[in-house]
Amino acid sequence: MNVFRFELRRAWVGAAVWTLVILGLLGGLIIGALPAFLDSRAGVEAMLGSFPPAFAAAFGLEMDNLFSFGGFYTFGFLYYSLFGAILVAGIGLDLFSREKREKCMDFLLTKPRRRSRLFGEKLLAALTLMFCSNALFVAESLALYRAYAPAPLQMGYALLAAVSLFFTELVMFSIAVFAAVFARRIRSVSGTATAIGFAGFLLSALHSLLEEAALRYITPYQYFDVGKAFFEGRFETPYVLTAAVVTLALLALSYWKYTRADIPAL
Amino acid sequence: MNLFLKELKAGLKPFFFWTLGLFALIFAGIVKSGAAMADGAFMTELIGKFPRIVIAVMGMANVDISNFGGFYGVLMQYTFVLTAVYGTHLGNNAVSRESVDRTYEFLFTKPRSRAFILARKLLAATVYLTVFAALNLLFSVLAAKQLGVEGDYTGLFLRFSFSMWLVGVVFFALAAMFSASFPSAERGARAGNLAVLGTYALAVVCDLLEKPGVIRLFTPFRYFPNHELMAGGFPFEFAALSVALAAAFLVLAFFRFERRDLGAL
Repeated sequence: MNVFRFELRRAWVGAAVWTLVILGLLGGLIIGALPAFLDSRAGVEAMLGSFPPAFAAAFGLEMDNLFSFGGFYTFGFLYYSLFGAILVAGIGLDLFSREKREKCMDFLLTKPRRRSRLFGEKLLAALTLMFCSNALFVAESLALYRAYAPAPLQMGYALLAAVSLFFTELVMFSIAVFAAVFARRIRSVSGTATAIGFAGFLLSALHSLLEEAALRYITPYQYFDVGKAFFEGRFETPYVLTAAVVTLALLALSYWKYTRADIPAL
Repeated sequence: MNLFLKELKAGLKPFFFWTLGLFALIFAGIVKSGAAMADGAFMTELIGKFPRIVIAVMGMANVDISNFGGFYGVLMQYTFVLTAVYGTHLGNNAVSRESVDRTYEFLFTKPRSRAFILARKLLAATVYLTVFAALNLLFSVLAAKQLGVEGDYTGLFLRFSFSMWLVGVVFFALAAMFSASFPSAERGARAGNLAVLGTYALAVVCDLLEKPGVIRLFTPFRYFPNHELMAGGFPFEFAALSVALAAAFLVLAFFRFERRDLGAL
């Protein structure tokens, strides 16, 4: 387990700092803005009163969901996903392109360990970091939910919503691993990670702007709909399946390449 | 001249990929805009009266999909993000590509000063950024023609493309400065990318607040707000601020680069 320990030691500080940033973002948004947001409901309702009743009624249906912890959490989730994706893309790129970047692949591969073993230990180290980061995220989400949401609480739904960050991160992580293994060289881990994270963000924005159903299949941040998880306690099967297939396929391809690739002469 | 041409050649492939992203974003956005714009007018007017935080949570901040100009503005906010990330990439790469590739001793032993080399590299990157913004204009015009949008939007496209260029230049200069200032290339790149992320987060905070006030100064993403550009105006004071910021960052980049310990990674 030397590789596992080594990778953990090298990557944990960065991951911890990023996790703190995400936790700060989550706490800051909810503690700083949620009360003000909920307070503004009265004003909006008064405004709606002056509109045609049919319209106010149609809009009023959405009010309960919008002005709730879940509604606000869903709004913030796009940004948690963005930050989380950059975190895990950074971990994936860092671990799986480390020897490539430092041009010392031969030092690692001449050790008496199979490549599959090396790949497995790196993967395990990355998953450990992601798991710890998400455990904290879920814990904070649930704590905030208890503190700020009015009764009745639906902890199961809230848990599902918070866990969807982990699932989204898994998809983005597999994309990053794929990029790290297949790219000829990675010049900058943070640059590539930011590009991957923002690419997902732009796809997500485009999807919500155009409301085009087909687009959702290539939009990782929308595979797990937090709103649905929060209000109905479920995800939509086709997208969950897509996420699972994409993740497994990318990881399998990366494994295949990592265990077989020629190491270029320096 | 050699160096300039070599830099242009090295940047061509990434440029192609970034352009592909821009192309997809604009064409998908504009061609599909017709369906998304339906019955927006009344909603937009109604929602416009809500408190800003409610608008933001509903995902309608800076969104006015009642007409083509407004829809285009929303799309442009996203291309600003794309340009910022691309600009950061260009700035980092211009300063520290040779350090990362460990080939700096081949370049910096040539009989040219560091400032001379860096100037050519930054110039080549600026060319790409400028072409990127010009292509934004071109794609917008073509996509609008393709869709058959009535009315002349060239002025609007031009204003947005110029704003996009300014946003890109600020982040480009900032990234160049960070890359030149940090001893390790990866740390410099990280600082530049964090700046994009941080300023974007500030832009979101800006949307949540009733009176953003001075926060707007710290996030180039809100220097050129949709409603001003759509109304036919152009915030010249913020354009001047962008140019001043970019100039200051570049001067600092040169200053630091001259004194930098090359080869440290």
